Amino acid sequence: MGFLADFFSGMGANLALGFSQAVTLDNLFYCFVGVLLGTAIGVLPGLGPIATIALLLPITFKLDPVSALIMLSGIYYGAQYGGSTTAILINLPGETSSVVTAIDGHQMAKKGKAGLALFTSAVGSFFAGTVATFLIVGFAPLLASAALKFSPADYFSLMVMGFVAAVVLAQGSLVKAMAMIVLGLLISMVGPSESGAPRFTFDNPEFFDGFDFVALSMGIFGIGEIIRNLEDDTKREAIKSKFFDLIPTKAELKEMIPPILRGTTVGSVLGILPGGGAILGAFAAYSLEKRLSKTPQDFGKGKLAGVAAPESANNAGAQVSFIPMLTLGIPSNPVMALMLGALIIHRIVPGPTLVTDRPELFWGVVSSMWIGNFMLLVLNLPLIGMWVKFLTIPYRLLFPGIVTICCIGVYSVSNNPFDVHTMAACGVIGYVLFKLECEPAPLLLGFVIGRLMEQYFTRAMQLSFGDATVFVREPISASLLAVSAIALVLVLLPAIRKKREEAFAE
Amino acid sequence: MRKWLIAGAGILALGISGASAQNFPTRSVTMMIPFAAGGPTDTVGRLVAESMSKSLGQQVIVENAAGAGGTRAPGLVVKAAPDGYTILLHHIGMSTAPTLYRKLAYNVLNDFEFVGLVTDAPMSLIARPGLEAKDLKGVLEYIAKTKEKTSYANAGIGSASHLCGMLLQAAVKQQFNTINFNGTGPAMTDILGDRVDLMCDQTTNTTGQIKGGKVKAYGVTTKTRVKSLPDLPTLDQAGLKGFEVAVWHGIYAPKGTPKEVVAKLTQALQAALKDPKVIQAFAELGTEPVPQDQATGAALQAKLKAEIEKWRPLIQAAGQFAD
Amino acid sequence: MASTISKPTSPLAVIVAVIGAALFGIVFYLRSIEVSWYVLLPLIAAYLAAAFFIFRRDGGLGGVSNPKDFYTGVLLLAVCGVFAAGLVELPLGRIARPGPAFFPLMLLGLLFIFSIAILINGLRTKGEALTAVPWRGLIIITGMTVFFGATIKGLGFIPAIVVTAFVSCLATRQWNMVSAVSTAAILAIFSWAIFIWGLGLPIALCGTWLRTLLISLGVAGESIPFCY
Repeated sequence: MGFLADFFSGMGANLALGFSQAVTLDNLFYCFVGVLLGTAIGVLPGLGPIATIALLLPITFKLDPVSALIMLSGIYYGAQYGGSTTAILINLPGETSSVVTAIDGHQMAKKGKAGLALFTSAVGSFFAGTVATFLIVGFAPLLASAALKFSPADYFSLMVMGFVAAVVLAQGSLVKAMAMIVLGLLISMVGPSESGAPRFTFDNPEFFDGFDFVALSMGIFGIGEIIRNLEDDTKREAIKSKFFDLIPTKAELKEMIPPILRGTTVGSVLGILPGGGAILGAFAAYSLEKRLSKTPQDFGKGKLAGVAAPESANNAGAQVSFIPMLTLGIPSNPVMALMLGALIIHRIVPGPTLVTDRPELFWGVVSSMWIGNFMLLVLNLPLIGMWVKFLTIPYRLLFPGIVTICCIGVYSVSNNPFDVHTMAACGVIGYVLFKLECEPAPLLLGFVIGRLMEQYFTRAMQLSFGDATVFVREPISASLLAVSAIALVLVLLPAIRKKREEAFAE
Repeated sequence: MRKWLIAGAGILALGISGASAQNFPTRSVTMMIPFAAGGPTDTVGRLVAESMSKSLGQQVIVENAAGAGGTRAPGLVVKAAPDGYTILLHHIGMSTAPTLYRKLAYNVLNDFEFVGLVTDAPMSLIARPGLEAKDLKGVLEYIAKTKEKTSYANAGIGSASHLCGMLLQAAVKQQFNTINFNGTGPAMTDILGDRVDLMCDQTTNTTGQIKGGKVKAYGVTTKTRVKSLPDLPTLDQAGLKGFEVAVWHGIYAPKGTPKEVVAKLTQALQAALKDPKVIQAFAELGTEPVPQDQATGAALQAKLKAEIEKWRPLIQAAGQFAD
Repeated sequence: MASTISKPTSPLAVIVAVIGAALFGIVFYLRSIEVSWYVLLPLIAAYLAAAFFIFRRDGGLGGVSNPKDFYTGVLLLAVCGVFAAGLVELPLGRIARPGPAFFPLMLLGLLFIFSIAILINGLRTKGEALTAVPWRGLIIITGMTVFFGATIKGLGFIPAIVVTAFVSCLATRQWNMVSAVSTAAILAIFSWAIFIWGLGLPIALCGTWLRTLLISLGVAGESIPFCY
């Protein structure tokens, strides 16, 4: 018991120090600017947090390091909030994480429940952010050293598990979902290989850098969705949605809470892993909900849990990914790498000594995360009314706008016309996939993870001198693979049984 | 907020071209960096860019064009208009690319104008925490015992850590099991996790870990000890006679950039290297600016020529080509 | 929606379709070893003629019982072909030091197996027929996206947006001139306000072609505001 008392009093002192840093007028202001800017760039397709933070780095030279980091992290999690807005309203996920939110979120919007979807997303994210903040406060160093136990082979198996999650997530044919993942993996191979030599470029210089995720995602989802909507070229009524629809009923509230709790857990666990675990969070949380649900057939048709779980997982993961950066000095994604750069410019050497050397920085930033999340909630709830109004614009006026904004957004990522052309091609691909009932979400997951997976595979092989049994010999890897195998069998069984029943019926 | 963004981005929507060399610069200058934002080269670039902005009177914007082992950014700069508005900051990799890449799209000596040298960053040899060796002698014994099963991490082909590894393999006359990572972060993860034996990387990346006691450190690669890590001997002192490598950085402009413009850039660079803020920040990273007479185009050109010749036999002997 | 199957699929037609998918990869491979289009185009034409003949005689693939799966399989096989062609020249390495071709080859093997499985599924199970494609919308939307990419540098921000937005409005038959013109105008102003004024993106409002044109017409001098 003494240990617990020490723990809580230590935590209290840390938090007090943190809040005394974060709740100054200056830092509150920078936090607000950060989350506001983050929301704005999150809502707009294209320009993501990486580009924005890179643009703003010079400004942060002039700020105090605590303020600089508070503002930059505000942009980061603000963008996560904003990204889900476009995913829900117009099926346009600009970030990996909102790909999953788009599946059920956009269906809810089509049914006139955009307000509720946005509300769920905001509340889920806030809750997850709060939990994640406390996780960082209480257990950051512990979690960070646990994460180091993950070897390349373990990461490879973790990604295999992510794929099983994506297969579970699929509504239609399982083989097709698996094929889509592999297709996504193969597409990600286009571009420079690890040694820098080009691969699958067919001597076309435009392919030398590979494809851009934003172009791919906005093409397949955004443009594909427009072409698909044009199939029904009759006068369509604008979606009616009233402001007060966003307030959930008691039943809806009850439906939303467990997925938020589970999503937060899944997101936090995966987010700690510095080697790209956070990407899998939303996928894993969604699949878990679908498995646990009594009505899995409703997923993909506008199920509340299908928004609540991935949104919570996503925000928890985003927040928890600060742990490896702040406690180990290891960036788990490009945004974190930029933040490290910002610290170094302020002559702060990130690494394991940061927490003890600069406690005011560490705890200040952590406390500001909670404040920032709260600000986002306050900022976003009233905005929902405005977003929902947006949907009352007749579709024939809305879609030219979406096309144009997508073009500008994708172009702005790196001022490269080729990205816009990639998006055009992916629009057609997205439509063909819809026609053939192939799901695009697993494809995008494969694309995002492809390079990482190859690197982990290569490293695992190099470290084991070509012994492929390493995947089943190492305990973490073996258990992850076992879980994946069991999950896959559980999904396949009903399908096989159904087939047999059909055969008997005939 | 709007003004901030614009100032921050340094983008002047009204920046009108057609400026002549005399009044250079009339708009923002783009500094291309061949590695990802947040890395050590990026940090050096951003510190210098920030200070150069002051003396040029225009923003110097850093743009990261990572990829292809650091050969992508030079390729882009070569193709840019030779007006001084696009410059390149590259490290030692500039001198190894011609040997590592047999199909390079540019010629490092002929396709650039030289602005000047920036800094010589030291590197340090570190090892996983579980490695038993107490000093460099112990490491050499370990290598002699485990032979080609000694694993060595680098941040990717063409990176400083890759080059240091090649030099080390040549010095101990033993091929390692070299594991290529995609950046320093992932490489450090596997060192911290006790899975890869050795890594030799810029002190920028290793100082925090060494001070925190999370990794074993055996020496620095420069002639003299590093101020931020006073307890660490040089590898030369510790037993690897004559082992010396530093990550030198230089600034380049596309061939054909007017002489006056290059001169202005050189002046700005020299001013930046005298800036106490830059000196202080460099010290924190374990490095210091080159002397003023080195921050010139001629010095950079001479250094580049010498380094190409230094690395060619090493790379050819190792038989490591990137393509 | 579900189509009734009038006639079993002709095995020959299926073979033709699969060869078609393979041809895709063969063409990519032959291009990568620099075989001239003068050789390749007749090859493709010969295939198309044969396919046309066989499809007419056998009633084509109209009788495929599950067209959605069948065509997925055929398309994926074509993708396999393209990647196989790209893989040929890459070094494989060995398992202890995998080369650039190692991982993609594993993936390709998997995709090939899945493609065949889906293809067979398309022939053996019953499924819904494909519905009509909104060609007008598809062509206009894709075309305007390509147009935007092709002209953003030459025409510049405002002209590219106005044209893209206006023509996109025509993708639905519900369009009318007034709303199309006003949509284009509103979008131009809105995008300028957000992307250029607000975020300060470095995109020229009028592009290099327009600049050259204006200068050569003598309308403006060397420095035109917003053109760079």
